[in-house]
Amino acid sequence: MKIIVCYKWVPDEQDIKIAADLKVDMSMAKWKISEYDKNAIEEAALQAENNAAEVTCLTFGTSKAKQSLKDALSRGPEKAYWVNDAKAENTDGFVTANILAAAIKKVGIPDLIFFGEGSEDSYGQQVGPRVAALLDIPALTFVTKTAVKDDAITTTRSIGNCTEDVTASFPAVVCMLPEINKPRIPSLKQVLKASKKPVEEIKLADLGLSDAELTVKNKVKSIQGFVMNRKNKLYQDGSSAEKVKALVSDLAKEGLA
Amino acid sequence: MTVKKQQTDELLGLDKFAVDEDNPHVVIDKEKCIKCTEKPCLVVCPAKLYKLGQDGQIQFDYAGCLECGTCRVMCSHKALDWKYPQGTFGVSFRFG
Amino acid sequence: MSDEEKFDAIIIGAGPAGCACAYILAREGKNVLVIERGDCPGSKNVTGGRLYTYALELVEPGLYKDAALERQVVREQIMMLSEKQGITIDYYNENLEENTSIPQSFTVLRAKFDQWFADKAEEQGAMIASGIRVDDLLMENDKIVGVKAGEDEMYADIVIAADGVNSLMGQKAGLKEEWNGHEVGVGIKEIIELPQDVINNRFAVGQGEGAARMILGQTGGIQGGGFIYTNKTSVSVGMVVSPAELAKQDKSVADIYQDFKMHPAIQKLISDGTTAEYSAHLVPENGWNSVPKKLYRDGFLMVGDAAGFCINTGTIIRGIDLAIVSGVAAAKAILKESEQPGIQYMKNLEELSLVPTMKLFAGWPQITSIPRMVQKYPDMINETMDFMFKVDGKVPPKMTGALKNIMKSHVSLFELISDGWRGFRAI
Repeated sequence: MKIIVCYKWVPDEQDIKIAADLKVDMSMAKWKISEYDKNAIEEAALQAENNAAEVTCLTFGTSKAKQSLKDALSRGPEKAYWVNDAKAENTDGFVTANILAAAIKKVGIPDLIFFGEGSEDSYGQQVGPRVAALLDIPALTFVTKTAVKDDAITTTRSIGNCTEDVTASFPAVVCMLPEINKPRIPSLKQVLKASKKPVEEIKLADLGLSDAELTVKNKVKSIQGFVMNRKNKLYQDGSSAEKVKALVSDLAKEGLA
Repeated sequence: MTVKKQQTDELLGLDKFAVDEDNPHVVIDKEKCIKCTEKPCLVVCPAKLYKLGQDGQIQFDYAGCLECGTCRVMCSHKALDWKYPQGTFGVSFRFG
Repeated sequence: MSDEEKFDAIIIGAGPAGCACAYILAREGKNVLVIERGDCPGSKNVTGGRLYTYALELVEPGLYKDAALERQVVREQIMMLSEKQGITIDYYNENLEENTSIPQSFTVLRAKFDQWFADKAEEQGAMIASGIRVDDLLMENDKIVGVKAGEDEMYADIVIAADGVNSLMGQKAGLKEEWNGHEVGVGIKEIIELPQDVINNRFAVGQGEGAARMILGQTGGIQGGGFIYTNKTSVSVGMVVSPAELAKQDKSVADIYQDFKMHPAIQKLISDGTTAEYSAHLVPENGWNSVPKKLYRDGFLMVGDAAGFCINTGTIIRGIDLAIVSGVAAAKAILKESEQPGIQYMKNLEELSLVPTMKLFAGWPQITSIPRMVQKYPDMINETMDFMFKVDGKVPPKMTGALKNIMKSHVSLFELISDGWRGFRAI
C-alpha cells in the first residue's frame, strides 16, 4: 500500500500580532507544519507501522518551506516531495489543488492520499476534495477513524451530531479531523533519520500546468484583525431568578432571544 | 500602548507556551510543603506560579513556567520534582 | 546511517557554548550531534545582554560580521537610583579594537543569536536535533559513553554538557552540586518595543549604535542590580537579584521588578513602548568560587553556564563570551586527540585567559554583595547630588558639614571602613 500525505507550511498563529489599527503583523512569525496536517502525517505513519504502508509526503511551498521537510520526515514519511515555487506565497485552494494533483500524477497515484481537513491559516477545506475531483477518485472528509482492509479504506466521518462509516476502494483521498490521533513528538532517532531521508524537489514548470490552472480564483485584497466588542454588563442585583430575567430581557432587546 | 505596571498573568500572556497537558514538568509534594515554614517559592518565582491557598496549601500551576529553575534551587525541603518540559514543550522565547 | 552509529561528540544544548564547540568540531571534520530541548535553538535562552566580539573571533575571524547582533555598544552607563532620583555616569567610547577596528561588544537577543549560531554550526556540518530533551547520560565502566533521550540511546566518544545554568547533566555526571540561593541571581526581563529613531534619540546613539546600562538601587533592598540594553527596535529592561535575599526579606521578585521598571528615571526611557515579552533566567552570580571543582570526567566535559562561567564586576557582566570561549576550549581539547581531553580542556581554558580572568575577579561577588551597595550608597550619592544642585533661595548649609551629615545619615563610619576593607581584600 502506498500513501502520499500532503501538508502546508503555515505561520504559527501564536506569533501573529494584531495591532491597534487591526493590521496583521506576521513579521515575527515562526513557520510550522499546519497542526491538522500533522494529524494526517501521523495517520499515515501509523499505517506505515501497522500495515507496512509506504509513505511519502508532499508539500507546495516557497523556498522557505524547505525548513519543513526535516520536521515532516521525522514524523514518519520515507521520502518528501517539495513543489518549490514563489507562487505559494499567493495561492488559493484551486491553484494548490491543481499543483498537488499534477505532482501526484507525476510521481504516481498512490492507494491513499491523506490531508488535514483544512489548513490552520485559511481553513478553506478545499484542497483535499479538489485533488480527489481532479484525479477522479473518491474523497472522504471529516474523518475521525480509519481502517484499511485489502484494497479499501473504511472511515468514520464525524458530521454534525452523528457519525457515518464510509468505505471506499483504492485509490481515495482522506481528509482528517484533529480528533483522529495525537501527532507524535519526533524522537531523537526519528529526527536523525529524517536528515538522511531523500527529498525530491519538483519544479512547477515540470508539471505541465496551463496559466489558467495557475491563476488564483480568489485574490486576497487585505487581511485585518477583528475586535470582539463586549457589553461588559454585570447582573449583580436581585435574586438569581431576577438576574436571569434581566439577562433574557436584554438579549431580547438585542434580537437574540 | 504605553509601558505600565503589569500583573504577571498579563505579562505571561505575551509569551509563547506549548503546554504539555499530560506531563507536568514540575510536581510538588504537598506533604513536604505543608511542613515548610519559609515557603520561598511564593516570592522567588518570577511568574508568581506558586500561591498559598486558603487551606494553607501551596497551589501551583506549571503552565506559564519560564523554566528559570529558581524554585528548584530555593526549595530546601526537596519538595519539587523538577524537570525541563519534554522537547518542544514549555516556553518559547521570541526575543530572549 | 544505522541507528547504532556513534558520534565523535554529542553536545547537549545549542546555546553559545554548544554552538561554538559544534562549529569548530564540525569544521575540522568531526561527526557532531547537538541536541536542543527547545523547539528551535535559542527559544529557551535569555540574556541581559551583550556579547563581547573577541569570543566570536576565536571561533572564526570575521564571523561576527553577519551574526544576528542588535547594536554596537558605544555608551557604557552606570546608574544609581534612590526613590525618586537617579544619577547616571555615561561613558562614550566607540570601543573599536586597535589595528583591527572590530567593535568591542554588541547587544544581542538570544532567540535570534542562538538560532543564527546553530545555523552556522549546521553549515559546517554539525547535526542539530531540536525539540529533544536529553534525559540521562549513558555510563559504561565509569565512563560516560552517550546520552538517553526518551527511549533513544545515542553514543559518542565524548559528551559535552552545554545545558545551561541548571545543568541537570552536570548533576547526573556527579560533577555539579546543586546551587545554593546565594550563588545565583534570578534574572527577570521585559522586552519593550520602541521605534528605532526613538531609541537613537533617547539614548543619544547613532544608527546601529547602542547603550549598555548597569543600575544600582531600587531593587527593593535586595542584593543585585538592574540593567538596560538597547536592541534594534526594542529595549531590554531587567534586573538580577539574589533569591536567597528575596526569601529572607519575603519580597516578590515580580513585584520589585514592576516597581523598578516604573521608577521615573527609567520609565521615561521606555515610555510609549510596548512590552513584547516577559522572561526570566538564573544567572551564576558567584564567579570562580562557584565553578565546580572538576569540570570533566572520562567522556564528559562541562562548558558555559553549566560550568558556572560568569563574571560580574559591578560595571559589566560577562557570560556569553565566556560560554563561547569555553566551547572553543572544549573543541580544541577534543581535536588534540589526547588521552585525557579533560586535562587538555582545563589547559585551554587557562591559555584562552578564561580561568585567569575568573580567578582575578573571584573576590568581586564579595563587593557586589555588600548589602549597602543596593540602597544606602545609591541613596547617599543621590542626596549628595541633590545638595550640590539645589537652589531654593535660602542660605545653603556649608559644604563640608552638609556632606558629612549626608554620609552620617546613611552609613556609619564603621560600615564605611568595613565595606572599604572588604573591597580592598576582594581586590
